[in-house]
Amino acid sequence: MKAPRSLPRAPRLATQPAIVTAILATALLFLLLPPVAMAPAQEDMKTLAPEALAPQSRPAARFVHDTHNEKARIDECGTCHHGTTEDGRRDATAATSEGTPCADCHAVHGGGGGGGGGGGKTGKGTPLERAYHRQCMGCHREQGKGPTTCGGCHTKA
Amino acid sequence: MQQLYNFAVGPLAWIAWAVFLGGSAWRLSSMWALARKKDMNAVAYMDVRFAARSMARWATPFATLGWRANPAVTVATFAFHTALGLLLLFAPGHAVLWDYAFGVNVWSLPEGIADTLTVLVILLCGFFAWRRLQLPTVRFVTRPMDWLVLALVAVPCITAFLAKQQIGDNLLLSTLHVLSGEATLMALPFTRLSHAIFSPFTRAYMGSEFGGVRHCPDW
Amino acid sequence: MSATEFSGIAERRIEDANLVRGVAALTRERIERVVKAVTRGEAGARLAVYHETCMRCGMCADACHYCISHDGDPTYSPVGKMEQTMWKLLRTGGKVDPDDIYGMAQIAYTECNLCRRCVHYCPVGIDTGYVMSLVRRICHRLGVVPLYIQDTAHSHSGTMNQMWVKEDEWIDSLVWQEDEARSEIPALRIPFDKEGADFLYSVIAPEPKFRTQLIYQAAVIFDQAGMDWTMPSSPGWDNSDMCMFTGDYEMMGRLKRCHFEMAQKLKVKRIVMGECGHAFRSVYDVGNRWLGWKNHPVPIVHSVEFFWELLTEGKIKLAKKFDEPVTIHDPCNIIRGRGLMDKLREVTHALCSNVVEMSPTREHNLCCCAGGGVINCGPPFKGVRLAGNKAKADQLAATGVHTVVAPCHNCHGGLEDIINHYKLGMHTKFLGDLIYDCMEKPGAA
Repeated sequence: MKAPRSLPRAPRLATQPAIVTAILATALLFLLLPPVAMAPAQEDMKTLAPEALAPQSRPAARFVHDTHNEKARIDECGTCHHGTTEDGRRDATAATSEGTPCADCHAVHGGGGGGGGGGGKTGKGTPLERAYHRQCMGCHREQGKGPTTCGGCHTKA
Repeated sequence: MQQLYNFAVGPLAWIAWAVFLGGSAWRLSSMWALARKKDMNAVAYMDVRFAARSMARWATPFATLGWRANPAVTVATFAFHTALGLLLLFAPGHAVLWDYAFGVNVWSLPEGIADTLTVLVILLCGFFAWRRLQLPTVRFVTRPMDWLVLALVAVPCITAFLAKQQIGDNLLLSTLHVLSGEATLMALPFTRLSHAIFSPFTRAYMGSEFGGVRHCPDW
Repeated sequence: MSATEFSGIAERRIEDANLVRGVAALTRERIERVVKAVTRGEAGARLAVYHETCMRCGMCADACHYCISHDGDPTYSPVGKMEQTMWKLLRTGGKVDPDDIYGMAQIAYTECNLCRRCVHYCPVGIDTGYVMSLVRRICHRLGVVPLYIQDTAHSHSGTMNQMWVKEDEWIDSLVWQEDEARSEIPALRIPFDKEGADFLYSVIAPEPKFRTQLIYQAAVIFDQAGMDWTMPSSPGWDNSDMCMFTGDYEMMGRLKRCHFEMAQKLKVKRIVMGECGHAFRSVYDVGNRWLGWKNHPVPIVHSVEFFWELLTEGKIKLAKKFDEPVTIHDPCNIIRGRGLMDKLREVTHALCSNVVEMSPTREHNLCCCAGGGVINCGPPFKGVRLAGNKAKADQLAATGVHTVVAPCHNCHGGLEDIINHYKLGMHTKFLGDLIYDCMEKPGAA
């Protein structure tokens, strides 16, 4: 019996390659876009690559100290180079800590704090990597300005 | 865009997880209730021992007739799901977000391995797409839903790779990565991706039925 | 390759009087109503989850003898057949044309044996046999069932047996076989309705109808093994069940109840079933559940297992062995349905000196292409079985033997058909044939 009937047809495949092509084309577009190039003055560049975190798995976060602070309108050193209370808690009223490497207080796996004990591998304080991320990314998010993606700070040199 | 990214890794992440967890719980509980109502002639035979036996068999590459008959699919399927699971849980970028948000230090994969796995998943998505386009037995039964779920896996992986390698607009790609990842998470209970939550039960049932009633391997 | 290179069932439609008549009486509204009544009213989570989580990976294509025999034609793969039937019905909510139902019925009744070989191929654990049975259920409720198998279902409801055998004809057939057998074993009896016997022996109606000598052989085996057994003289003697395969579950329930209750009325310790596969599936696996029994009110034993008992317990002694090489066909309903592959081999090796295994074998063996009610759809669809099981013909030919041991009636029918069609020069044997030939008969005249 070969009467013309409404037949169970194969799914409409004609549209499916189109979907795939669209996905691939979009991906290719991103590939071709040039990375946003920034050319800051080299002499001012801060590179956050503490020995304690070696070997670094991502490119170091880099920024131009003065330009950043100007743009961010940061006048107080203690905004980033924060001081601590006696028992090691962050304290905005305490003496600021510029000149002291972050890793001196923030151990890789936490601990440190106050005047002593920093630089070790274990302990109770905020671990070094988390401290960096919360310091930078936390402020960027709070202010709604500045990069918060991985690649926003950890740019390839 | 930066605001959108911040929203995506912030409030939207909570929403995505809530939809995923709530949706999964709702789908599983309502399905179980429906099974209790309509499928007791199957549910009654559920047996933990036979279920576990069947699951273990099917979780082992080449331990079943189906796996042996389709070696390429077997290798691809196991590599795909393993890599995807490892990346979901242990990608270094994901670990940083857990660490940042909750102060939870999650073990993470070395960068090189994570990069390799990402490329692997993307290639395997390509393999699955190739099968859907080229093999008649697969093409005949491929529906738009199948392309959707493949895309829901492929897009987060492709954007993750490009963002990680800093190819293209990093902020845009990072944002797309997070948004597409969250879309996948939210879609999981409501699309064919739901095999992630349902297939343990279908496997358990088949194992129980063949083990307890039919006394015959289901592999 | 074009998108519509495979149009599936539409290109191979076969005229069947009852399918034509049934489809002519359909409306889209009725189809939608029945599809919903079955998929949402009768079925539940199992169907929904299967539909949702079938990943369309196509791995099951290699499992199906139809698909293998048609060079991998995707419209014959298990998932391809579900796609053209149940998946389409669920996707459209039952909004399909009457003509679509014609094709779906043809696929469900004649292009799937419900053998479940694809179970060994599906990582997710989709039960294609269950899904195709539900398609048949829908077709049954729509009145779209192939003519020949519908006739057997009518026979079941009219006579409680599959072959329109009247009560006096049944009794007459048993007495006739008893008479025949008494010329060989003078003291032999076929005990009717013996209360409290060790077991009730039940057969399918095609035995008295077409293969009456099988009852003769069984009687000789049981008698010479010194068994305390009985056969019923009234309805309930037939353990077969085409209603299970048409989707007439209400009638299936009546049949199984009648069969179980006959055993209970006679107070037998258990039921021994003849060498039939589908009847075993119906009694052991399907009908009991419809009736609400998780297991069985009376223990069920298939002939293969019973013969194994007789041989291992020494109730039967063998005078000789069958010397020609044989191969073993594994019927789906007692292997994948009951795990009798080892006992089948032990019995066959006890009886035959030279056993050549098929490849693949045991629970992975290929289907006969007759079961699941497909052979019962009759002459219009014989060609479907012959073309659809070239794979089995190749598998049989590769053994190089001339005798196939197949302890199932449907398998016999299906295998004999492909053996003739592909000119394989083989023939099939039941275990009962071999035991009868090889056993010692101390009571012989």
